[in-house]
Amino acid sequence: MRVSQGARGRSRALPLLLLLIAVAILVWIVWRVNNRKAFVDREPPSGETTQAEFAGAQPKGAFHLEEGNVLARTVYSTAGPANSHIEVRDFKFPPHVKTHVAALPGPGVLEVYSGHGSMMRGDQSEELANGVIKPVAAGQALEFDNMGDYSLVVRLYLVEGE
Amino acid sequence: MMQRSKYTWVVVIGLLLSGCGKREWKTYRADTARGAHQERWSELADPDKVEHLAVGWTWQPAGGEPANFRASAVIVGDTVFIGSSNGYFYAINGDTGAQLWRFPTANTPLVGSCGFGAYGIQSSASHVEIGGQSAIIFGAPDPTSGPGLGNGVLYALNASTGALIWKSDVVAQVTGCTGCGGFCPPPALSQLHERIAYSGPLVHDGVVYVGVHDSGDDPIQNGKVMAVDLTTGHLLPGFSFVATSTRGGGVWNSPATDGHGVFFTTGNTRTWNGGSQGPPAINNGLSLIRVHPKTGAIDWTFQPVPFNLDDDPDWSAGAAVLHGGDDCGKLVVSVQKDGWSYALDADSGKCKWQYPPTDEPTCKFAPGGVHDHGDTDYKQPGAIWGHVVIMKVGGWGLNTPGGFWSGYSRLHALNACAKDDHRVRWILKVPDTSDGPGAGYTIGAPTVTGGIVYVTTDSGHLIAIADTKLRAPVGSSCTDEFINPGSSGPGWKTVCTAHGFKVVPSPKILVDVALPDGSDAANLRNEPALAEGKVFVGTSGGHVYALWPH
Repeated sequence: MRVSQGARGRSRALPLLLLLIAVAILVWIVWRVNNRKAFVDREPPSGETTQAEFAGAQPKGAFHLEEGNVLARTVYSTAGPANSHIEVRDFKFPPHVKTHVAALPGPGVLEVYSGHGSMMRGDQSEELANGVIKPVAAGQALEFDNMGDYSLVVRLYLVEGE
Repeated sequence: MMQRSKYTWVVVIGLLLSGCGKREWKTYRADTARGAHQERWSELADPDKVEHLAVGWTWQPAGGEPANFRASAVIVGDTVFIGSSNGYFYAINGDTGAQLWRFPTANTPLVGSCGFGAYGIQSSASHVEIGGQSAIIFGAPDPTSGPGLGNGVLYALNASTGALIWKSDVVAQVTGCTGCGGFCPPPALSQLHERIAYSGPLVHDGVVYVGVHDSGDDPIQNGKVMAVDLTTGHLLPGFSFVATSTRGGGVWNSPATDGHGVFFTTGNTRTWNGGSQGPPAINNGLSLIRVHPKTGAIDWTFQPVPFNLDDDPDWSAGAAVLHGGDDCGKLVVSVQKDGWSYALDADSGKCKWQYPPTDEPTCKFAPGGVHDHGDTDYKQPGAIWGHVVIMKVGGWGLNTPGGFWSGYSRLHALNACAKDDHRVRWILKVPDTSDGPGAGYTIGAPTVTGGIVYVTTDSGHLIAIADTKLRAPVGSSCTDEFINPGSSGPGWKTVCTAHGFKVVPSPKILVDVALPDGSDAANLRNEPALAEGKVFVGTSGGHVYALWPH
């Protein structure tokens, strides 16, 4: 039986074609492995999470909790002249509520460090914003209204007479 | 025979092609967007494997010269490239830890004779092709330039042999050696004390960019970005960026690009070692800036801290580009030295958010504000993982008097495309650091792959952290760290939310490896480079370590 030249060419080309396909598949697989993206959008881990434990830091200069979720701390305290006593106190007032600070034992100066709101003294309201400084008299009860979304942070420089 | 040989070639070529796409780390922060993200998969992205991370090899200079690695490694193919502040640049076999070559080969390190030019190599290199050659480019003082005081130049070396391809024109000048020492006598103010120490080169579209800053503000120099031609090393005609009309605005970081503009950040202008000045007529200090890549002309600039609050909060972290897609567009993110972090629209420079959100929507502090904008230590860039930025930032502690340092050893993962009240994804207090108000360089710049964050510490540790998507968190904390069980008792979570803050998870630490030399691994431009399934770390103790899962 005579085999035509075209048929012989086709029979030679077939193994080459199969080899090319096999190599192409191999190349594709290896390339895919080598080029896999590290970002895998996995589902969050199942099972109970352990967020109940506190795992943060407790920095120095700690605050303590007062009534109405007000955080307060004394950062400096020393004897002043003429039997006076000088204190520097910080307060953090929670947002969207009115909170009170008990009447001060001496006159002082208040400086707003962060946030905005108002301070009521008697029936007088004064606006508070970052950088505002206000004198406060001894024996005066203060009410703070934090109108921001986060803590209103205030530093109070207090001079207390003996 | 012919036929068989043809088949063999087909197979060989095919397999070679399939090997393309290596997991390299070709420049500082992995790529020119400076995202510090290894996007290709390796065992470093597998939390089960990473728990078994350990030191594989340790290298120190073969010549026995003392080294100090303040820069980090870049990895191309199987070769690790790293420069030292001793003035030598090294190539190391990434598989074995054997030294391949050193530049210069002679015992003539790249260190100037004057202290202002005696910094060696303190920033990472960049890999690129130059005329068909695989090349590595880095910046250093040139002891042979002029009187040898330490003019800064860029070096391009053949990556295979270490042979010099070109040395650039001078990009940073040291013209004298008189320091201020608390005040600035003549001729200190007329001398140039320029450096390129902390700026790794950016290679983009045939141009190499590098930032110019000063030496400890002694005295402060005018910040610049210099550009040279990639093929010749000659200064690029027509390109100019100078930060101010007088002095200040140093570029302490590695420029980044989104493929269109060149981004960088600038230092202070008002107060500096030995002096201060009135506001310059042109003042682009303390800014995040985008310039045109061919001319250096400013496309936009963002300056959140006004001149009168400038107590030296250099913006030295540089910019990273984040692709937020349809969710939030293309952003550039960074943290200023005072601890406030920002995301800006990359095209317009408009502020998208500030964290903590103290002065949104402008994100600019009013001139009379009381916050600290001083010489604090939030100087390292963040890592970008999808829409998440992992960065050392000040956080809400910045809004408490004296709380400027509260983020020094904490990593925040910030959701870049979320609204403010969902900004924080997690917070980790990184262990094994010398934490405290005076310890600003406690952790290095983080890097990330597949949600696993790598960070080094000043106590010589490498720590791998699993994002909360990979491993359940181990606990939680309040986004204002001053609210905690110590301040607020067992109800601290209630107090936290009552103050408008969030209780956020603390991610799991997969592994905490003590590096054998125990020296500082968190210098200004130290980062764990992630390539070919290995983590490469340089230390101030003069070692380079390769770690991989064992």
